[in-house]
Amino acid sequence: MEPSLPGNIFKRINDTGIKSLALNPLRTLGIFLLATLVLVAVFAPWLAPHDPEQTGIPYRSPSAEHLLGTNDLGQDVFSELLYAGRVSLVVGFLSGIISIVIGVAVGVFAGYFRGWAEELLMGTTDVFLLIPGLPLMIILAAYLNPSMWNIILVVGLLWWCSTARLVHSRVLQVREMQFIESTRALGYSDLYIILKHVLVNTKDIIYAKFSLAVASAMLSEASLSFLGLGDPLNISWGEMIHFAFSRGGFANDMWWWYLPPGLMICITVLAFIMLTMEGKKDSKILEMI
Amino acid sequence: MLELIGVSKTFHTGFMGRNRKVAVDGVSLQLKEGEILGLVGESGCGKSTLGRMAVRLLRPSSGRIVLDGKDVTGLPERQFREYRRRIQIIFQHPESALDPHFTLMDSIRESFNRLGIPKSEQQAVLERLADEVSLPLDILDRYPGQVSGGEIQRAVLTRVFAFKPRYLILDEPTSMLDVSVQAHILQLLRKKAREDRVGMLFISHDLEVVRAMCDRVMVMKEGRIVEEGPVEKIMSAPDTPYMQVLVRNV
Repeated sequence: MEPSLPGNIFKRINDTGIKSLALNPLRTLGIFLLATLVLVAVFAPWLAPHDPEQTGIPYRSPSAEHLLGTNDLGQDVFSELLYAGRVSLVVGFLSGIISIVIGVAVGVFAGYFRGWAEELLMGTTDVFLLIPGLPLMIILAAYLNPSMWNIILVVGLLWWCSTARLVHSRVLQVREMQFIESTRALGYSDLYIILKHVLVNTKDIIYAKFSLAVASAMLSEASLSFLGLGDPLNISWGEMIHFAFSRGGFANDMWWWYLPPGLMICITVLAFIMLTMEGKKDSKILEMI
Repeated sequence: MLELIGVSKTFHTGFMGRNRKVAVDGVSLQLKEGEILGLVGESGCGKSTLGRMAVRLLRPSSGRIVLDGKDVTGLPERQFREYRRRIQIIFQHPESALDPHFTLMDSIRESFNRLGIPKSEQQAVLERLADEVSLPLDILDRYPGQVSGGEIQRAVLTRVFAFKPRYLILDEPTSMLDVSVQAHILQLLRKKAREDRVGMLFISHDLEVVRAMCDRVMVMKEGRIVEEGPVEKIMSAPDTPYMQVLVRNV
C-alpha cells in the first residue's frame, strides 16, 4: 500500500486558506494592511480630527493641529485622506466585484459548455482585450455624468476580459477531469457540477484575479480622477491628487497634499497584490497535493 | 440488458470543426445482467469512448443505446437521470477520480444525497458499503491526496455501489494500482457481478486480467469490433491476425 500523507496538516490547508496563512507571511501582511485600511475607512468619522469639509486657513504646513497640513480651502488633509479612502475602496471593491462576476460567468460558461457559445463569448472577449482600456474609459467617463457609480460601472465593465480568459483556460482543464464525469454519471445537473466542483477547483484563480481586479480598478479610478473625470462630490485619493495638481499643490511643492494620497493608493494596491502571493512552503505543499 | 446498436462517434476538431476523427464506427454489443464482457484493444482504438457513450457521458453521432428495452439515445438529460441509477462508470485514474477539494466522505455523500437517502440512515448505509468494499472508515475524513490509489478506488466503489447499479462500465479500473490491490479490487468486482447479477463492461488492455475476469471478449481496432467470442476461445485461438499478435505478446 502506498504511504498516506499526514492527514491533519492537509486537512487544515484544504479546509480553508486562512489557516495556512502562517506559512505565507506576505499574504498575512497583505491581509493585515487591507484590514487596517478598511477599518480606518469605516471608522473615519471617529478617527478624523476635523470635518474634512470644514474650511480654515489655506496652505498650512503639517503641525500638531493639522497632521498633514491644509489644502487650498484650508481643509484638513489628514481628515480628507481618511474619508477619501472610503470612496477609493468602495470604487475598487465594487468595480472588482462587477468585473470578476462577468469574467467568471463568461469564462465558466464558455469553458464548460463549449461549442458555439464558447466561440461567441471568447471571440467577444478577444475583441474587448484588443481595445485599449484606459483611453476607452476616459472617453466613456467624459461622456457620462461624473459620478462615482458611473466610474464603478465603466471600470467594472471593462476589466473582466483577462479574468474571463484565465478562468476559461482553467475550466477547460477541470471539465476534462474524471471526477467531473463521474459526478455527471451520478446524475447531477450541470449547475450543481459548476457550483460544487468547477468553481471550487477554479477558486485560487478567482481569488487572485479578484485581488488584482480591485487593485487595477483603484488605479483606473485614480487615473480618471487625476484627469478630472472623477466625481467631485465624492473625494477619492485620486481626486485629492487631481486637486493638488490643479490648485497649486505640485507647483508650490506642498508634498503633504499630494504625497499621502499617492502613498495610500500604492499601499492599497500592494496589499491586494500581496494577497495573491504564494509562499514557498505553500507552493511546495500544493505540489505534494 | 444493455444494448449498443450500430453506435458511432465522430469528433470534429480544428477551425469550424473541419477535421473529422472517427473514434467509434458502428459498434454493436449486448451486455446481460451478471455477465462480464471484456473490451480489449490498443490505446486510442475507441474503447473508452465507447464506454462513455454507454453511460451517455458522450452522445453517439449515430446508432442507438437501449437500456432494459428502453431506447435512451435521445432522451433529454433530465429524463435520463433516472436511468443513471441503473448504469454507472468507474474510471482508470484514482488520482483524479474524486474531487481533490472533497474528503472521501463528502464524495461518498454525493451519492447518498443523489439517491435521497435520509441523513439518519446514511451512516448505516455507509458502514454496510464500506464493509463490502473493505474501505476503512477512519480514513473518510481525508482528501484524495492523502490516501493511496487503492483506497480511493474503494471509495469510488462505495460511491457507485450505493446506486445498486444493474450495469457497470469499468474503464481500466485497476491499471494504475499495484498488484496486490489490483487483485483485491478484481475479486470484489467479480463477486459483485456473480452475487448481485451486475453486468460489467470491462475495458482493458491487460489480457491476463481480462482472461481472469471476463466471460466474453470483444476486440476493438480503429473504432470497430474485429473479433468477439468466449474468453477462452479468443485467448487461446484468436481468428484475426491483430488479436493473434496481442495474445502472442502477453
